[in-house]
Amino acid sequence: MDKSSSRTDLLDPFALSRIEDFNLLGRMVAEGVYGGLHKSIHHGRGTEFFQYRNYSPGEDLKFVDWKVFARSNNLYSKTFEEETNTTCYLVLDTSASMSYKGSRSPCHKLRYASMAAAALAYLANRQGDAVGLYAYGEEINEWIEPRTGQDHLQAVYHALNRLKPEGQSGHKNGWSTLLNRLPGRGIVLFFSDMLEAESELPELLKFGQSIRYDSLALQILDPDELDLPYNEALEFSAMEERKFIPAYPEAIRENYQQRMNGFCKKLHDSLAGVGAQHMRVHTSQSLGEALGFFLHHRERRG
Amino acid sequence: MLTFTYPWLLWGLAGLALPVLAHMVHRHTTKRLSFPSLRFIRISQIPRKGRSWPTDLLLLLLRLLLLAAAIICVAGPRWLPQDAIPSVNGEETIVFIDNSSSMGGWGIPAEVSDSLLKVIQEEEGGLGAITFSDKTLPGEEGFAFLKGYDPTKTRQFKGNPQKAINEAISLFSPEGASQKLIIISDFQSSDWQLASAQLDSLGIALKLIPVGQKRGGNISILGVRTSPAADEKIRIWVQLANQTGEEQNLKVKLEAGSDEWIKEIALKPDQNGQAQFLLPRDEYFKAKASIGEDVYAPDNVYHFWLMAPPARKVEFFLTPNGDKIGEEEAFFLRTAIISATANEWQKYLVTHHSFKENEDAPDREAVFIPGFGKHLKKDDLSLILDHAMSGGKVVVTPGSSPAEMLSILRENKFLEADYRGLKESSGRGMQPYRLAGLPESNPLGRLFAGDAGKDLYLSQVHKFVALRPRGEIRTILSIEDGDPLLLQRPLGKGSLFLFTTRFHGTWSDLPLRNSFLPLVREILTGFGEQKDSKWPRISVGDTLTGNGTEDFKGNEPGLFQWNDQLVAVNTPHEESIPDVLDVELISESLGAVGSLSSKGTPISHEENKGTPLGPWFALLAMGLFLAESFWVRPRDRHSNED
Repeated sequence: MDKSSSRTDLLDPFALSRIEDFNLLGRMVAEGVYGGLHKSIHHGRGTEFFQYRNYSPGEDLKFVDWKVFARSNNLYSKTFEEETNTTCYLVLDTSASMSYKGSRSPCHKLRYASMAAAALAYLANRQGDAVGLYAYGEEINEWIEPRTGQDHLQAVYHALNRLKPEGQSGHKNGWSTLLNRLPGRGIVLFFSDMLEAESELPELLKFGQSIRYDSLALQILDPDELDLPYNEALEFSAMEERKFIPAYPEAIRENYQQRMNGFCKKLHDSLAGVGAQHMRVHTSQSLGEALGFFLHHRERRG
Repeated sequence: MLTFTYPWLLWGLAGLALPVLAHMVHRHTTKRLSFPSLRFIRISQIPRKGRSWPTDLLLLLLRLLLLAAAIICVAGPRWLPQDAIPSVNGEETIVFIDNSSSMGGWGIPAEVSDSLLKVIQEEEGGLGAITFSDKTLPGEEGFAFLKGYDPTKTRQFKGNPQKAINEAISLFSPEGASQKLIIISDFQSSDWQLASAQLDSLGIALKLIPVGQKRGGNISILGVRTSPAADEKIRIWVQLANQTGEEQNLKVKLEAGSDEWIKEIALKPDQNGQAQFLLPRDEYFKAKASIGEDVYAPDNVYHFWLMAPPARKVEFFLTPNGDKIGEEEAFFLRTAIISATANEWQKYLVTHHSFKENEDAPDREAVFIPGFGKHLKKDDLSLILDHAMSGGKVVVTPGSSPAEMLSILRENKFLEADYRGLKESSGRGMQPYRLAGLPESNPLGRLFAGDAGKDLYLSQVHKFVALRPRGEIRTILSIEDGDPLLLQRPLGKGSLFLFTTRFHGTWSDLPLRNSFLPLVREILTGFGEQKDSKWPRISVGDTLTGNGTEDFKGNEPGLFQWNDQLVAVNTPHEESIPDVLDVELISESLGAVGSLSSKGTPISHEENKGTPLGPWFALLAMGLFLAESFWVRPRDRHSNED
């Protein structure tokens, strides 16, 4: 089998959505998207001297500064600042609109977001980055502080498994709580359909303007949302409120597509204006493109 | 007036909606599709197909009437003559029904139901009602309220009998010939011990109907404590009370995320105990502790957040025109604060320059002002003083002109001290100043006692501002010759800390010492007096007041997010106490008069029952049924002929 085609197959959402185990899914995607390109993991403790502190019995004698001991007759241990990599915060919108699954998609939007998040968590953890998870809909649904390690990665996968799309989207509440607890620096990866939030989100994601943070937003839509493919008359009902609109899709299709594209463009421009990188994907699209968006950004930063 | 023997059967009238709903459902000829991007869809006019409105609306009406007549017939309708309704101008009785949380346990609802029925049958005159959540005036409304009262639907809050009694008194009309207050309650000690009134002076008769007096003991969850443990774990203590008088073996269940743990614990009679759990930290954030069902259910569950406490906020107020020393001081302090608390449960959030931009945020713990000087404007100083007065800490180091700093501090009522010059060590720093020993009475004395203090006393101070403090100022650290190095001036609920040296190599090596981290930490925690911050935990019925935002009212038990606060709401544990007060004692506290003689015309129970109308409604239903049958039959025949 051709190597490139096998790599593409590994990233096909139709195949991936059948895998329940996020651990396996993460590894498959890593194999598919990164192959041998990925950098090696950082090993070992930090080497940059940080400060002295009093020696406590039981500590390794190799950290004792014998020169200081010779001068002062006191035992001092040298401490080193650990070389930490960046912190990667995965933020998922779990509102009811994320539950939409059209006829051409293998899974709903939240599942697609979870698969991308699981793969990124795997890659980030392999690279030694701390990974945190934050999911909100109407209220906070999951909140895992960033950390590294296999056990922690399993906790992130379990949390992703537990996510259910329900309730209204509460971007303002969700982000105000998260922004208070953001680590000192890092990358914040946001997965959402961002519907009706083009004026609200840029204000919330403007922390991306700081050099200490990167803010990347992946807008996940269903292919049906992009082209409205239905032929028969339908009564459309809203997913996050009680609202019904009867319509002939054929009659309104062109207008719908124009308005949808206009919304996406406005969202893209306003997010770019606050330093947040934005990309739109649909749920039948290969995960490779979504992950490439994040990974290229990470590669550029080193 | 129309009354019913079984008024709850009237809920069956809701069934009238069924034929109408069935019709509405049939109207939908278009398929419904849940769709997320609804705002981009324009409404189109879709012609209706298939079945339309019923051609014979009258037939629908007839069938609805038939159904309504049948339901009313079963509900036992009676006609009560107008003069049989208790008169407001005659005798008045207000029935105060305690609906606090404890009234839902110990089998009390059944007792309340019996007592209430008796009151309705026996009491004469206009009946009014009051509970901790509702009230009605004496008359038809009050009568209907008492008839329809459901004693199982208690509210999960603590009652306030004093307020309710005062409101009950105000419900009596001035024209009432005689007034009587009936109280149906368990007279739980935690609710009733402070209730008092002078009913005798107001001429109001009192009748107490105690319920749930013979109550068995209760097992309750008093609360939950959480604290960080080693190895990235969190320790949880579920505190339990056994008030049953017998030893109890309990299964305590803890649920967090999709996981659950069970601990068994034996509780001795009338003693408290606690079940302990150890969970991984930061993996769960919502949790619920529970025990099995007993005589009083609401206190068998306790909701709590498992999140680390909210981060304390520390702000820097930097000199705007690029004070290099100030920036380095800020760097040292920032590193010290973050390092001192890096691995701790209680985190600190360090921000810059937000003091002015975020004037509404009162939750900042400390403000650091490196290089205090004339760049601070009157408004800034007023804000900083307010911050200290309301319990915050202000930490200051001298700026380029110490005399000016002392003058500003004095003028703005921060502290008073005489300036005695800038002292520098001689011999190009070869003979630095050293710190004086700390006595036991010093707030830092215990921390830096023995070997732990060696590092502090090795600190070298090359330059400092010599001053003589005046008034209520405490010297925390001083130079060997007695000059102060760190002063604390209490301001309202908070404090001002003034370092007379700067955190910079040219002034002192203090920030480079190991002792610096514990020193900063002690200042931040008010020398150990301040405990970890906590997410708010309130009881049902309590309110949290927001700062410029909408208040939060705890209406039901559970976990809620309010602004950036995580709130846990639980049933008040005062309601779990099985102790009740003696009825005689309550009677005395409320100033009982005894029963008043009736001046109104008594109404017999037979009259109260009114004329039964059931047969008439049955007749009506039968007539309507016949009409409907006749209506349908010819139409069917007609269609067959077609």
